[in-house]
Amino acid sequence: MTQHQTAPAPVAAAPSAAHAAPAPLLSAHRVNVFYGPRQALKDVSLSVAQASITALVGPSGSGKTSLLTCWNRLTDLIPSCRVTGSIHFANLDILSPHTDVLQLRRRVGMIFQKPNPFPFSIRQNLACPLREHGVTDPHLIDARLESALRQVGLWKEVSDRLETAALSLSGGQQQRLCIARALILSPEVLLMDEPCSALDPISSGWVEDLIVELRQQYTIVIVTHNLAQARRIADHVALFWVQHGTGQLIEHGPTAQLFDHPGHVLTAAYINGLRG
Amino acid sequence: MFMTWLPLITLSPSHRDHLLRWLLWGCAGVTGGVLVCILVFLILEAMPALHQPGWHRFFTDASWHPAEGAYALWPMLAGTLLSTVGALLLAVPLGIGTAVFCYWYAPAWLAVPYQRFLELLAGIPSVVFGFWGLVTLVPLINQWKPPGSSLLAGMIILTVMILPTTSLLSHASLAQVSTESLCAAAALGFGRWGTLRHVVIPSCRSGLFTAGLLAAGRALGETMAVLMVCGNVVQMPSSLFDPIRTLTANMALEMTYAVGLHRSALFVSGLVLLLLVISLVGSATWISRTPRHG
Amino acid sequence: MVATWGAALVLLVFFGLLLGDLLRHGLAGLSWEFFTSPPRHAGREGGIAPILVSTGLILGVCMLTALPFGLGTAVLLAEWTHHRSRTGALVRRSLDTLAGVPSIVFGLFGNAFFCVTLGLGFSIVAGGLTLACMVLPILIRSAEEGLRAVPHDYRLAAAALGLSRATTVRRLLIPAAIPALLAGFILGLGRAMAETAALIFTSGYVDRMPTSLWDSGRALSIHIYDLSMNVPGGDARAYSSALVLIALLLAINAGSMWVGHRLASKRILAA
Repeated sequence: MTQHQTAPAPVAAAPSAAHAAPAPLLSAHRVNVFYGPRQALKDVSLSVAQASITALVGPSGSGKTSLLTCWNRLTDLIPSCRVTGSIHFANLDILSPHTDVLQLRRRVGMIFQKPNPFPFSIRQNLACPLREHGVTDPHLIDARLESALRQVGLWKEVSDRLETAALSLSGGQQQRLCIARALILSPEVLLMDEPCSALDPISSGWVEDLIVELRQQYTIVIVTHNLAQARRIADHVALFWVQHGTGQLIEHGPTAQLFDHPGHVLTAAYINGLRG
Repeated sequence: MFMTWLPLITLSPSHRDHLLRWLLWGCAGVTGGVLVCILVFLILEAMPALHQPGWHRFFTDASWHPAEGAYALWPMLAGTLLSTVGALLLAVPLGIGTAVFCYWYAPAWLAVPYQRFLELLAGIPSVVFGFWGLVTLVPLINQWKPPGSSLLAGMIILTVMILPTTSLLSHASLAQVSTESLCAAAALGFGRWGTLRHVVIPSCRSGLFTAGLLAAGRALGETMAVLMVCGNVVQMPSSLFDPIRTLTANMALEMTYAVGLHRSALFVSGLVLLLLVISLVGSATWISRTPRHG
Repeated sequence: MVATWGAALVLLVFFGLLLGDLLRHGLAGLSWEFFTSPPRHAGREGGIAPILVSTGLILGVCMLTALPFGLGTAVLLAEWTHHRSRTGALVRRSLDTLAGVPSIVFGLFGNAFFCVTLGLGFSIVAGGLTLACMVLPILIRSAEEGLRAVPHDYRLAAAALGLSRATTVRRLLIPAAIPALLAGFILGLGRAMAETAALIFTSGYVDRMPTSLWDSGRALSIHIYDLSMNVPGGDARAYSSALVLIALLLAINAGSMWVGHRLASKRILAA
């Protein structure tokens, strides 16, 4: 993640590189997620290589978001939610009760479907999480704020009005601000839950371009309903399906392989169904 | 290049969270404990009187002369109950009437200001009502039938005091009637009055009843207004125009100088009042929580 | 139809009479001296300066005590206990009941606990603390509702950024719930200011200028009561005092509406 390559990585080149990748950065092994008595996710095993984009696709209710929120333990916020199995981030056992959850969430950023900036000024939105994680020097905060806003291409648009309310920005700008807010903590992983689906097509395009740029430095897991988008940006695709009311992982593999030679009837049906 | 600047181990926030959690539980313990404290202190202070003269004396003694060992609380209990019931008989129909007016008949430009007006009235201090009753209402009744300070004056003042609450609560329960039932009523060709009688009122009967109970709780506990207009003679009234003394007025008048068993007897009346109000509020919440039908 | 118009009209006329009476008799007595001079001849003459000071001090003690406990409980109820939690329900139930307890009973309790057991005597502190117990349910209910109304998205976003719950509450939830908190504060303040019965035997009757919080002090509402009941010829001053009390309450209410409106339309900018 310290490398700064400027050449855009060709999507088609990803599979072989990913296969050669050594230890995965994120992994889930035989994970089950329950909401009260209902099982939302059954026996899912999946690993994500460093500096790649993995897309989780599948119909609604197939547990994609549930898996996503396991990786930053946002599942803790749902009172009746229970997770079993083993989930790791590098060498860190995420489900262990001794894990420092706040530190984990600092290292694993998350972007939500609906842009959710705080009802503060733009500056406060970015400064508040930084201060929480121990950065109190105002010069340092300003510097990091500018770099994060530049990273998401928002600096030129808002540099003269950092004190205005973040909620006065347009939807696309708000979403980029949320991405900047996650980036400012220099996370290693970005979890994205349908980051484009609540945006208009133009903003959606910007955010998608941004994601492709970010893959140089971050490991990205993205939930999307847009198969075309998954095909455009992802190195790996994992298909989830609802079987007997429970979400399951049907197939996962390099993007090209999954789209061109689906190994499972459901995968083929899903891809073709959406095509035709 | 900014990436390495983040300290890897920040000040452990989970520790702070634990502290906060305990602090908040402390707050909740204190606030939740207030009610328990009130009960405990009333019982402790009431104990001597409940022991030594015994609770039956409050009902069998002939008069209230605590200095001479006569502890008749019953005329005052009767005064409290009579004034409350009287006020409810006036306030509940009026309150529901104004609520229906607001919700159903009033033109839009009037309904909202009227609602605000009611909220404002609910906040007028009881001492002001009492004062006004004393200088205006009591002389008025006095002209008609002396002495003026009477059960009737207390009832009227209490009515005015609980009316805004009754009306606001009734309005809230009227507003909960579903649009579907209103549409169904309209489809059956009911007029406004018919809809009101056959659909709206039956479907929010429990809400209106709750409003009545809560109003009763307020009327029972009201002190200043009744103290100022009721005349405060300890007796069983024989007509609406007789002066009475309520339990609350008795406490307010005598607490400042009462000692010993006298003080304890006052706490007994406070305890009785508290239990009455708790059971009223309790049944109100119980009723509003049971699923309504019909 | 006629009946409901009638009911509404009765109420309107009644309160028209009340307010008209107060204005007619009370307005004449209002002057600069009335606000700045102490009462003389048991209040028949002079003003209400010490009474205003006592009222302010009692309210100050009341709100300063009730606010931290109320806010703490509201945060706990809204953020740490979910709807079905049993302890949460217990605290909530006890607060609902507390809200229905008659003010005179608060007075008895305040007298027994603060004045006698804690040895505070008839004092401004004892009165303020008694009122604090009384306004707690009001503060907590509106604060809890306000906190619950903050969109859940904010909590998720804060958690995903690794903000601790302490920071989330302090920097995000409380600022976002300010209008509701303020509304509850004002409501409680109004209730405390209107209160008489709970103060008669906790803060006392003394109409001198208080020199400390441990002095007895007479609240405005008690002043009205005393003038009209115990002081023959005190009616004129009682009218004026009642007018002042009502004006204060109205001002507080109007202020809360205005502030709430402004805050709601501007949103909170600084955390």
